[in-house]
Amino acid sequence: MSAPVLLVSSLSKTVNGPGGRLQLLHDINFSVNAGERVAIVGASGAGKSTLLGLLAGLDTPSTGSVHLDGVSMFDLDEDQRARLRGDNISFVFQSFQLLVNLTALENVALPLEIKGDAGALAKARKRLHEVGLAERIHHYPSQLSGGEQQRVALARAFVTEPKLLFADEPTGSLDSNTGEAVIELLTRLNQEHGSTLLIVTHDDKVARYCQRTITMEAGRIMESQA
Amino acid sequence: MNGLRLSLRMLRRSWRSGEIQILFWALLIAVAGMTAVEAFTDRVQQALENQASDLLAADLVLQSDHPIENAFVERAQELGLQFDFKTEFPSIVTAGDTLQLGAIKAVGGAYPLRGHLRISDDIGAAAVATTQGPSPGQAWLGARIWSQLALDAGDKIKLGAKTFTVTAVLWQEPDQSSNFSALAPRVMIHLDDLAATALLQRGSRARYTLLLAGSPSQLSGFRQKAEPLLNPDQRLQDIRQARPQMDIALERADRFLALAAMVSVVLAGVAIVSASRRYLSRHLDACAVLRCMGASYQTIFTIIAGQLVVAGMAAAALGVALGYGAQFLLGQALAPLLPGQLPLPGWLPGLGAFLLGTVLLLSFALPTLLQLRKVPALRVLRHDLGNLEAQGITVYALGMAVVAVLMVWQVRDILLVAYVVLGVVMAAALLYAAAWIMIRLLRAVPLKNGYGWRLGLRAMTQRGSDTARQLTACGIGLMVLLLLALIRNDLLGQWQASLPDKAPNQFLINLLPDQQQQLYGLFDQHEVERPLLHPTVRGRLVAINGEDVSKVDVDGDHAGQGRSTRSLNFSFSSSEPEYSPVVAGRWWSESESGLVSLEQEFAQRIDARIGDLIRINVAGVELEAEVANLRKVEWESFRVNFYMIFSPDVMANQPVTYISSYYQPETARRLLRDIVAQLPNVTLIDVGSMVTQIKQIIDRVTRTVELVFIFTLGAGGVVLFAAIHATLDQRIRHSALMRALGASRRQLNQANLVEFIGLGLMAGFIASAVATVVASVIASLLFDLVIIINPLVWLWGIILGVLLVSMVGFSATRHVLRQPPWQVLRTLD
Ligand SMILES: Nc1ncnc2c1ncn2[C@@H]1O[C@H](COP(=O)(O)OP(=O)(O)O)[C@@H](O)[C@H]1O
Ligand SMILES: [Mg+2]
Repeated sequence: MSAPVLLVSSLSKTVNGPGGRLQLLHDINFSVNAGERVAIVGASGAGKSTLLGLLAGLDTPSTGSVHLDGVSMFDLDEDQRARLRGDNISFVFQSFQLLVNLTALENVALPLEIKGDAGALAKARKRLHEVGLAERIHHYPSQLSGGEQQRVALARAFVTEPKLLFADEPTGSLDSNTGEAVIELLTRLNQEHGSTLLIVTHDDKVARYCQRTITMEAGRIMESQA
Repeated sequence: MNGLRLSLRMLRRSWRSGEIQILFWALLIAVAGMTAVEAFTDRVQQALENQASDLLAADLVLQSDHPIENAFVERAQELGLQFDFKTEFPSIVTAGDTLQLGAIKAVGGAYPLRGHLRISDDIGAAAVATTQGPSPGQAWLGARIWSQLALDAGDKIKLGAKTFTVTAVLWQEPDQSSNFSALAPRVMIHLDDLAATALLQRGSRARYTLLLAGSPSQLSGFRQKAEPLLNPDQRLQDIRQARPQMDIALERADRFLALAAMVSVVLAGVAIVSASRRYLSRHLDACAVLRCMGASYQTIFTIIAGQLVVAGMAAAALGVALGYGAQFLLGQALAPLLPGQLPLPGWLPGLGAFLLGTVLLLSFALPTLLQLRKVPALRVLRHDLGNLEAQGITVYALGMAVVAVLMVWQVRDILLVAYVVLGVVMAAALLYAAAWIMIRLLRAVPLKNGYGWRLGLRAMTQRGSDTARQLTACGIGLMVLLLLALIRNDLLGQWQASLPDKAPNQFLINLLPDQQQQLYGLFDQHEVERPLLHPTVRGRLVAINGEDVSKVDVDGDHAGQGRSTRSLNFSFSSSEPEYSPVVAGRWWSESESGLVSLEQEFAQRIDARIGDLIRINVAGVELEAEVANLRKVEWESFRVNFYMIFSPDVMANQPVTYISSYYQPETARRLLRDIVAQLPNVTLIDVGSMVTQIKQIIDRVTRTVELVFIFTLGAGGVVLFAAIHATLDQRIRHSALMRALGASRRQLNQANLVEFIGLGLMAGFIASAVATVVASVIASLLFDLVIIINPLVWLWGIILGVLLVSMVGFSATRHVLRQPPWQVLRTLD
């Protein structure tokens, strides 16, 4: 068995809310192997997004650690973590998060341009072709439908050939047919690129596309099944 | 670097979506305004000073009581200055067997270096301008001596040992003196003929003048080299020293234009703060996404701030171009009014404005842009994280500090800058505090009726810090505009008052007491209003409280230092002079005696106070009087004024003559001839051309001030626009949501209107209050004006506030309300 890409140990998160201290996550432990597709499911408010934020190093935990490819993320500073993300991680969000100021092509090329990749536009064009948006590359996000925007977001996520892809409710803003199409596309791209996928969802249909499901409830992992 | 490339790419879109445009326009107008003001005032200033120089016939003169040493001439030659000489002295003029005392003026071939003379062939002929004096062998005579000697063109006159041919009547000289010591009628000859007259021997009293003209740097070079060489009886004068009334007008105009330039800078700063906030709030999501992709803060900063800076620099560059264009048009519009050709503007004002604009942008936008650091990547998952903080008024602090430094550098008037900055800071603090108090009060108001009303007031109180910020921005904008308007009104009013349409253009002196009725008769005959006659007695100042002051510098001009003072004209009166009010002490009653009233600045120079005992000498008789009061005199007014006015008893039995100044309409020129003919002992001095010239200059300055003022108003409009637009997104989203929830367009319009009117009302009210205070301080301390605050200012401030804010706000939100709400919600998400 290969070494885990992601190793989570004793992760917990406490915040000071208006009503006193609030524990959002309790002692989370699990690991994800390279190439795996994992779904994190649970009711709204269970703490899925909070966990995802920590796994991606977007937020800091109260205790515990996350190792990405053997690197302990919270021993790095903000800018080092940002670089680590840029090199290894991609995201797909519920609300797409495309930059409204850029065309589809420019949005997809953006992560490569940040890294200073000279062939950014050519690669971006290829990815957009893969997601079936070759005709729409010069459109701005406001000129695209929700499903199309999410497909641009997928192209953007895969353009950097990430080791790890996090998706937070990727179908949450889409109708079920469109959502299913997006998930199929996501799975296909994941297989082609051999990346590791972690999807947060409350939708069982989405979970069925994954090899493993982690169920959360009130900030704890209830079960983890293959 | 690629951050900048990305930034440029995003700029195209940011521009189209309008968020950067406001910032662009604000900066464009401010920079254009500054360029235009700087370049234009630079040019007009030069032109005005040139015109003012006409009053000296040169840019700089060296006056001396003995022939001018060669050393000065050598300095002038070294520096490449234009120069020439004139020599003035009194002498007897003979024509046939008639004798007359004349003020001889011998001038070189290049005289006048600035301005022109006006002459005519005969007393009845129309005068024409010329830029050269008489040729050798010729003499030009003033109108009065021409009539007195009953001359015709071609007649001969004798001056000392030389005979001259009379060729022209001399009507006007640029360097005509308004000083009473130059009373005798003018005879002008060529300098080359001076020796032949044999009139000037060693020790003869005469005034020798070296006239100089050249560039400012040449002139200041000459000053530097000549000053150490000056003898006690010599002095250098430029227009500002020679004509204090011009100096005052030009200096005030300078200050006003500097104030206007500062105001447009402050306005731009406020607009930048508002616009950059909106810009940044629209880019928060982008920041978070970039962060997720691993971009460093530095890269993100380059991408986001880069767009702003690039757009800002473009605006500044365009602003410079526009400013030059505008000042060119202003120059064209004013050209017919300005003497000669306007000098071309330099490139320095443009460069200065460009740099100022760039620095302005950075320093006002930076505090907001630095908040980029606080945008967490987690915002991509939790949308409420990392919204812009309420920054209060501290966001202006850095910008104001930078602007203050820059303005001191540009305007070179620390006091003015200090007062304006202080005013703005005070206004900002007051506005911010008042905004919060009013918001609290409004929260407490129970609202039962009218959904729109409730919604509008709710919107104001709920977005408390937005409201406070908007109020501050609108208020500062209104405040500086009102401030400028107040000072402008005062300044113009004061100028107009100092030189009314019928300002006296003739001085009459030496009228004997028994000639009064005859004089009045002549005035009646020509239907000219009878002049006010002032009794005068000539004498010298001797002592104050027994201490000898016979060598004190009575005119405060350092002329003839260390020598006995010139004789003065004393007057006496039982009533307080209308145009010269008492400022300390009180005027005497009929029963009081032995008193004197002093002009306040004169009193300062001779160091006399109320209660001191003044001794004077009139025709060998010593007289004493106690100082009863001090008066203020407007020397600019061309009215007859006296340093000392005694109570009538002091001057009883003294030889009195009368002096007067009056306005002689153009249609009554014959009055002059009749007075000269019938009252030969009376001296008339025509200062009409000088009055006209000064009036023209002031007129031009006034027009410049007006044009600049209009420019600044434009900048004020942009500020209000930016302030309202800063929260437009929230407003749009809010309106769309409300409509989705079933609010009618009418209700939302009403709600918006209530909010805008409320904002305008508060901003206008506070702005008026602060503007009033700051304007009075600035007016009295820097413009030497006593401001009379019109209570209407408050009304204007409030009306202006309400109108501007609601108009701008309404036009900005109206189109939003016309779109289907779904479309709005979708494009915003
Ligand atoms: N910074 C915070 N302060 C207080 N409560 C928080 C904070 N972040 C998240 N929560 C709470 O933690 C819980 C889990 O949130 P989230 O992770 O977004 O759930 P999910 O994504 O599973 O729907 C929710 O009840 C949310 O209100
Ligand atoms: Mg969630």
